[in-house]
Amino acid sequence: MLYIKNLNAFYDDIQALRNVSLHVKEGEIVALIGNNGAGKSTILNCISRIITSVNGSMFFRDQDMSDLKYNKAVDLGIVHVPEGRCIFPDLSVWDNLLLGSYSKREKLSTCKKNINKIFEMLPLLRKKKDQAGGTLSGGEQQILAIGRGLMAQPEIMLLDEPSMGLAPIFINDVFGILKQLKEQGKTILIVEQNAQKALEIADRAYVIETGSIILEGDTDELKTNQEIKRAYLGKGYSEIWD
Amino acid sequence: MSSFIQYTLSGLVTGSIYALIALGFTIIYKSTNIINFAQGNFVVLGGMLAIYFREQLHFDLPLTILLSVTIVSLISFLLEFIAIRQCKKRKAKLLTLIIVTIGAAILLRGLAMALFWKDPGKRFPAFTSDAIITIGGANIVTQDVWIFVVTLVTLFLVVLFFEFTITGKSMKACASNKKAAMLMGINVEKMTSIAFILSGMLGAIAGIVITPKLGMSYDSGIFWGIKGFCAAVLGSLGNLIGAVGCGMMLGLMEAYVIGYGDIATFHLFQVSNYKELIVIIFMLLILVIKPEGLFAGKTTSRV
Repeated sequence: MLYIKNLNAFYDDIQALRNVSLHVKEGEIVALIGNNGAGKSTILNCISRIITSVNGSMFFRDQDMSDLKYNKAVDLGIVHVPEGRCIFPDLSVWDNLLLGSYSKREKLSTCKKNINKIFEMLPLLRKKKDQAGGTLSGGEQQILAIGRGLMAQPEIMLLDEPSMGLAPIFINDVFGILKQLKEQGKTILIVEQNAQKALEIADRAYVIETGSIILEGDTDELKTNQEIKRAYLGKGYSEIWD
Repeated sequence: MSSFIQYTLSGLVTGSIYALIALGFTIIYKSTNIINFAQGNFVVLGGMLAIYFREQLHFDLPLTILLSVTIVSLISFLLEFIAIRQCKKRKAKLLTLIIVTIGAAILLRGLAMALFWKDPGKRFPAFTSDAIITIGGANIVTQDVWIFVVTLVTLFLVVLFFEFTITGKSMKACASNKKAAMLMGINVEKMTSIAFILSGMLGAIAGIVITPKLGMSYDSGIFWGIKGFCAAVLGSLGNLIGAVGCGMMLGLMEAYVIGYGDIATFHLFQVSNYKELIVIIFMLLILVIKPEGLFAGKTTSRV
């Protein structure tokens, strides 16, 4: 569904990504794991066309993405739920969700139906629907951000650090929602620092270090990889070698 | 008592104009964070174009209004499309963009003088008649009623636009979080264009309704611009209701300074001659005490 080959990305004259190649198949959940600053979010920003100073080839369902504008990417069904939630703080929860469906250009009645579907899946939002987005707690905001992303009826969802800065109880909630989405057969590319959680949910994963992919494979394989265990799953040397 | 009503009414009329201009500042600020210093020149152009169409080409009033508003919104659109967007593409800083608008203001002033006339007193006849209406002992002309009604209708439409249309909401979204708006597929550049067109329209409308009363001169852009800017800043920049409220407040204050200033200072100073100065001192005082303006909402960001 999504194919990226030899992607290089630049921030002014600093190269952030070096020859990144990855693919996501339909119905698959793929995780990108790696440390802070490794370039995980940059990859997502390239796919959603927020960053355009790139070279390399990117294809979404046989469509070349190299000249695509960011709003056209959303029209194609590439929906990016950004790092740090990025909800609209002064707009109500309802309006946040409504704007999620902007790219669909649907009638208001259809939007209302879709919002109600989101409310069924994420009942927490129904209770807060008239509240300004900025008054929600971090976890609630993350759930709103996911709901808003779903309103765009994504073909592929790019999730950037959904668990960042959340209380453990909300981390479980968020991953619970992701499991639901997985059961519905949604295609997701997820970036996570919480490698443990990410590997639990994903089918495959890529490991990124300083802008390059250093390892890829099925999550079952990666979970048993000694190097991954040591670097990302927080198992100490002694535990591994003893 | 009748003199109080008189000052209040004339204050509300000038206040309406300030409110329209302040709204123009606010809409552009909200969607781009730019203070558009050419806003006052949109007022001048609206007024001068209306005089030109009405007095020299003898168009009828609806056509005059339609043409003047369209041309000014087009100019406003071009200002953004040609100058500001290109500067942004070259990664210009916000301050540079604001200075571009000052440049545009000077350019528009020059163009208005070169293409039209320098005579400051020109005007065109009132929309309907010059009849005087008496309310509670106070006299106003019918054009005052027009100014007030047109302003209220326009403000109402603007609020409806922002609260109930998807385009209005998307513009608010762009102001609220640009990156997120982009990721929703909202075309941010298009929304910026709409903001400039809307501000041009508001400026032109203000110019057209006030011209039959006060006339319009090529160089009064600064005067209108400063009044509107003060109102927008006092109204906590970016707050539509605040801009309108503070516009009205400035108008009223000016009227009371003119009306009561001399008496209050025992005719020692010709206070009414310094109304501009007094209003600006007042604005500075408020900003010293309450730098966020009078209409600052609770900041609602939690992480």
